[in-house]
Amino acid sequence: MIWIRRLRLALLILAGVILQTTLFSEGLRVFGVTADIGLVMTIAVAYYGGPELGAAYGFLAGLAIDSFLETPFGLSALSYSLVGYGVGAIQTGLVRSIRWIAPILGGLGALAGGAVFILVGALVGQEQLIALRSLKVLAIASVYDATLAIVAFPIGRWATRLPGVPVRGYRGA
Amino acid sequence: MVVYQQGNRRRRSILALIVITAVALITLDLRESGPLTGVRDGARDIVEPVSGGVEAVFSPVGDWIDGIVHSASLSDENAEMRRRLDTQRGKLAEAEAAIEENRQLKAILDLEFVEDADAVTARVVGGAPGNFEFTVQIDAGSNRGVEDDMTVVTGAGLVGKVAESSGRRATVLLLRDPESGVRVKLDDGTRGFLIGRGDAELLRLDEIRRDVEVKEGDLVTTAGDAESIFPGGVPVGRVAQVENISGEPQQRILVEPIVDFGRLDVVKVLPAPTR
Repeated sequence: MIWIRRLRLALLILAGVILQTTLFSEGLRVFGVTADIGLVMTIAVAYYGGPELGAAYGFLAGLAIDSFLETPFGLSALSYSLVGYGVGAIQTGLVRSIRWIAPILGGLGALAGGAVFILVGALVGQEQLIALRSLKVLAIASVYDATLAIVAFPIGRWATRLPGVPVRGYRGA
Repeated sequence: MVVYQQGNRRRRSILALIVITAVALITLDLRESGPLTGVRDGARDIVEPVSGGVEAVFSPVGDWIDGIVHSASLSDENAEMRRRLDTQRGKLAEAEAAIEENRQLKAILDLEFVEDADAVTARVVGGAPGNFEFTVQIDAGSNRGVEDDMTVVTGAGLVGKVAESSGRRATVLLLRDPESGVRVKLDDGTRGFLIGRGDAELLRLDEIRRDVEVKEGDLVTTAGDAESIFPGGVPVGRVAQVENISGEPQQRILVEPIVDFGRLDVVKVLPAPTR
């Protein structure tokens, strides 16, 4: 039955890309900053699926969105997969559920993912990323992504569950 | 204990593999490898039909939310627009005379961008999917002859260039993007290099020496030099600020773009200039 989970995760990546390139690219900007749907979903999937699934999902979701960006192909994949692995590893170490874990991980994950994107991007020649504006973008995006994580976590839980296997990680919004 | 350590090792191996693959992809892309361009185009073509439908359904929702977010500024903007309308009515007669003069000047200067028969008219259908680039999506791609590096204009002037063209869509890199650069000239023919500044309203004009007289309001147009991808004579902006700092060989010049990048709707994509 693992193919059903893979299908759900693939659909989730496709839905994320469509939303990111339509609704979130234009109308749903806050102070000119858009949310990073792919990153938020990676955090949610990693929380319920663990570090390996988080890294793999992040890599594929990142590649999907990289196809639509002008920044180097693979940059989002790298930052998403590192965040996915990190969130999955944190979840593995959690002894009990924390009430506000979705927005906390959503916000911190967005900060970490954005920072990796900027730093690695600058290293490979995107010097324009090292700017005061990037700090503003990181701050706003992390709050935006933290808010979206409240909705994304139940979706991540649904997408990663396997029949007959108890769901680990976060248990409610 | 052994099983736990094996699990950890496996996880780290998977992460290392993913990181190495991502770094390899970034490197390949920086070298402009052909297969990756194909992957990008393929992904865009797969998503495009669905995106079109989603846009049609959700664009009113997006506009509505946008209206709520910006409602305070909209009322101020309305008052400002009414004031401007009154002013503009007064200038209409003057403008009509200027249009005729302008038509004749265009013919003299051969500003082919305005009425180029091979130009492709396209509609702006989306903004940048990310936060670190200044692009728009247009509804014309290679299916209508739009190719990478083509010039994009409105009736007012230069918008940017086609950064990536897929089947039925293209991404336009706006002039305001810090990665954008265009060789331009001033009224007196002095050449400079114009660079985008991201969120900032004004563009930066470099390479203008201190001894060149530059005034606020001077028109800046594309230079159309042999190495430039842009045709010559396309209006870009007007000089907004000029500053001479002692000890600096160049002037600090900021240019207000003629095109309002926040309100792009219909654009024209021009074929590569023939030289």
